[in-house]
Amino acid sequence: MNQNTALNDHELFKQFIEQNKPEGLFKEIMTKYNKRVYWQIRRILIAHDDADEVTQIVFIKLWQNANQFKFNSALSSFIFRIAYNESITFLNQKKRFTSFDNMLDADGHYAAMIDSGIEMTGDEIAAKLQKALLNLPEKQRLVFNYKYFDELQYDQIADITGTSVGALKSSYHIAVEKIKKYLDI
Amino acid sequence: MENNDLNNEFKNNGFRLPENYFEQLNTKVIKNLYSENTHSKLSFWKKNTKWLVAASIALIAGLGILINSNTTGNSEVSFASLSVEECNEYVNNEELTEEEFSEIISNEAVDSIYQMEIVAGSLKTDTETIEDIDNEDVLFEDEIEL
Repeated sequence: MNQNTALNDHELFKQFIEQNKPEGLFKEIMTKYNKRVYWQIRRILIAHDDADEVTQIVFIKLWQNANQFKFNSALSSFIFRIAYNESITFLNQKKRFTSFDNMLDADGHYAAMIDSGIEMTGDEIAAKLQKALLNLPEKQRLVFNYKYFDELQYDQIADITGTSVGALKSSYHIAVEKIKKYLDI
Repeated sequence: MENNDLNNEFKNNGFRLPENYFEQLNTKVIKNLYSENTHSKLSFWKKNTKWLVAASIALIAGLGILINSNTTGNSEVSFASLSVEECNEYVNNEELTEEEFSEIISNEAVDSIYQMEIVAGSLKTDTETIEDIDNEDVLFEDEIEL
């Protein structure tokens, strides 16, 4: 099933490049990936407007850099890596945190945003988990999101973030322990 | 449940999403692919690389011509256009001819240097007059050669 998807992705993308990037095929690729890309970014950036802006940038970059895809990895990894890089770039521009290992929400800005409910559906348990995640260093929060919400494999997360599988596993383990403690489970 | 299917239901993460967001997203992206005022500030440089390179080359060439015409057309540099630092550096690093030296340093300036040294206490003012120390510890001793 996974194999199949990857193969179809490669065929689709090959056509897209060979036909000189027609809009129709690009829409097809976007439709296939926009939800996953958006949610990955939204979980990193919390606010919808920010996630919307970065998601658009990601697909514009995909269109511009399509020729750089080498067909030796999954298309999804290529796209998710752009999403990851653009999210980190966006965070750095916002200067809410100074290095990768810092927490996003050192000043409580995002916790307050979640509490206000503007960005939330009203599901209290889900909101509580998001607040717990804000207490993690950025790297642990990202790994947790990829593993728990996106259900990605470690080797794909390693591919996206450029971190070793071993480091990712330990980050995820620490993240889970911290969240359990925070939620009192 | 490892599932990379397109239609998989996303785990509830508690975030609110505007209605029909994903349909609008595709339209917005397609529009921005060709539009000049794209949403993406980051893509500006990539899109306009050709023009930016051309503009830079023109700018560098222009500056080159400007500097060239300045130096050949107007080789006389007036003292007024030099900064104090430039003068000091020149005086400290170059061997001056007598002519150059007298051009730069007036008698008043020499006197004021003596005055400064007196204030700084480096000269024994109570035992020597300014005339007496002419050939001693004086700043421009070598160049003066009286």
